[in-house]
Amino acid sequence: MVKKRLKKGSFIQRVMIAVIAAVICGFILFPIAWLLITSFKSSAEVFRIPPTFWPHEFTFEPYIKTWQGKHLGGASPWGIFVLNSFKVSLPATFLTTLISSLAGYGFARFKFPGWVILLMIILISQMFPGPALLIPISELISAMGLYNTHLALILLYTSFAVPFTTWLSIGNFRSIPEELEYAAMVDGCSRIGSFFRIALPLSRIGLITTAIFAFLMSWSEYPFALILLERNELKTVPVGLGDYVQEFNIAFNEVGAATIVLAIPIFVLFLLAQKYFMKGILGGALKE
Amino acid sequence: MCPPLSFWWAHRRFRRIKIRRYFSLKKKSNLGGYLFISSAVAIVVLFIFYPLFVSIKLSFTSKSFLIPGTEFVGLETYKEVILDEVFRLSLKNSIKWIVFGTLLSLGIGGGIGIFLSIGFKGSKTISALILLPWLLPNIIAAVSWKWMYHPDLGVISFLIESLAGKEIRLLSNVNLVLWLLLIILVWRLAPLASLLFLSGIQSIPKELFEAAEVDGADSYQKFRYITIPHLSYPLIIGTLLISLFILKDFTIVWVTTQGGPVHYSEILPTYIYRLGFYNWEVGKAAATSMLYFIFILSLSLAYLFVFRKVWRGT
Repeated sequence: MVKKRLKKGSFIQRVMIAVIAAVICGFILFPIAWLLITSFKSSAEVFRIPPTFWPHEFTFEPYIKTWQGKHLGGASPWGIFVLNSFKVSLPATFLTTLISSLAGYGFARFKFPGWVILLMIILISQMFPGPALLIPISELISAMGLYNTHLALILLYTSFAVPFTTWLSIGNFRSIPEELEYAAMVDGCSRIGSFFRIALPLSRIGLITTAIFAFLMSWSEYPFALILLERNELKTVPVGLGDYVQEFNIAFNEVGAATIVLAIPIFVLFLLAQKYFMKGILGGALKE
Repeated sequence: MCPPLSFWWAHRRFRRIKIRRYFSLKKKSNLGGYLFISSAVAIVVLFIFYPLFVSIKLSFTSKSFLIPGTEFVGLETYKEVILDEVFRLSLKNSIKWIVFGTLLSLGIGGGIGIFLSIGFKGSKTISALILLPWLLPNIIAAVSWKWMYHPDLGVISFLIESLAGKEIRLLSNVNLVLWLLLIILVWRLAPLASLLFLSGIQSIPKELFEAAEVDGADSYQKFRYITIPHLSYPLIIGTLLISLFILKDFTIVWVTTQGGPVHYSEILPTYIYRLGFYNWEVGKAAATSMLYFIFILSLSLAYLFVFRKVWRGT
């Protein structure tokens, strides 16, 4: 309806829409585009005082330099950082998905004393902002002997993601008819069997959403990785990037290249699982 | 990015569920549920609630890594924090940060969402592209804007300097710095608001507009009396999501300015980090954290109060 009227709309109207759309795109995309462009400039060009818009000399030199890591002693740290990020994010994603679907199933299917209080404990924990817990969590991790280990981050990211994903999965399991499971149980399936064989396969869209959410969160997390990892060979990409910007804050073509490295897995994930993304990143805030 | 919405949802549902569960319990109670939920409860209690209690305990001590031994000093630490000028400055900055960050993100993002909802050629592409800032890690937002603000080589600095005709060191300007960082925050959060508004408008039943058209309403009236009342939902969700995101944010400020120049862009999360990991005053950092909690708690109560009408309506 609205569309039709606009197609008929006057020339001025259409120009106005085009201009506003261009301004929005400019504001939203320029910072990223600028970094991308910079990452293809040679080091000499980055220092040019009226900044050049398009690289005079299109070069992959920053990527190669970043990857070789000459400035960091030539130990190719970014490869290690990327590997570390995967080492942390993938187990955290798996653990989050497992724990939250178990819990979601428990809350959706069982009635037991303390149901409300336990759910409240899980949900309310999202209200505590991360930075205020920096001190006690670092103390706890040190006391557990997990300082400077990836396991610490895996457990932490899981605990940060679980409250929200549990809530998502309660909704998922509620939408699966319980009769299907009763039928399986009549045929001799146990509760756990019916969880793994019936409920879990049926809720796979929810599982993908959960996994995407958990992966994005643990891939991007910065403050806790910053305080819990001290040794260079353990750092994740965000920490490496943060150090890099603060120590060598001139070579922005290389910083740009490193940033693109951090962004690539997210782009890939976005292209592969686009339709699950909205729900995952908007945190189920959309009405269904 | 950890949207804590569910809390609000749960609040709406609990009353009903509570009553239902209470009666059904008497009929059938199935303890197998504990097995399923135990791992989630355990990990949340261990890594969120236990640290919270440790934090409360620490905040009454004068613990510092520079001086051995932990002494119980009661409210002394709190007094010290409140009298601290840097604390008051960062509290003020935090309040500015959250109030203006939320308002601007909602205003600009909401405007973009409403604009996209008119559905012109290419609006679908824009609403997909607009996801980018929200999708990418915080640290990328910080790095890319830091580069544009760079005093000698940044493109924004260059444009402003050639317009003003004199040298302005953007991130070193004590009056400007917080606002410049707010732009980053808005850039990152406006897309979220616009998607919320867009989906809110798209979920309005078409019949309403058709009925209004039959009654002879023009497009302004349709917008005023149909679209705007339906925006209350995205507005509440947006306020909650965005302000809680801002409360949790540490990266944008830390990576761009580290709270500087001096403490002019210090917000409470970076101040807590500085106290705990640079000055090693753990007790003081814990006390600051507790005050930050109180700040957040009062903010949540304020939300409950402000939105009480919409709350009951839904």
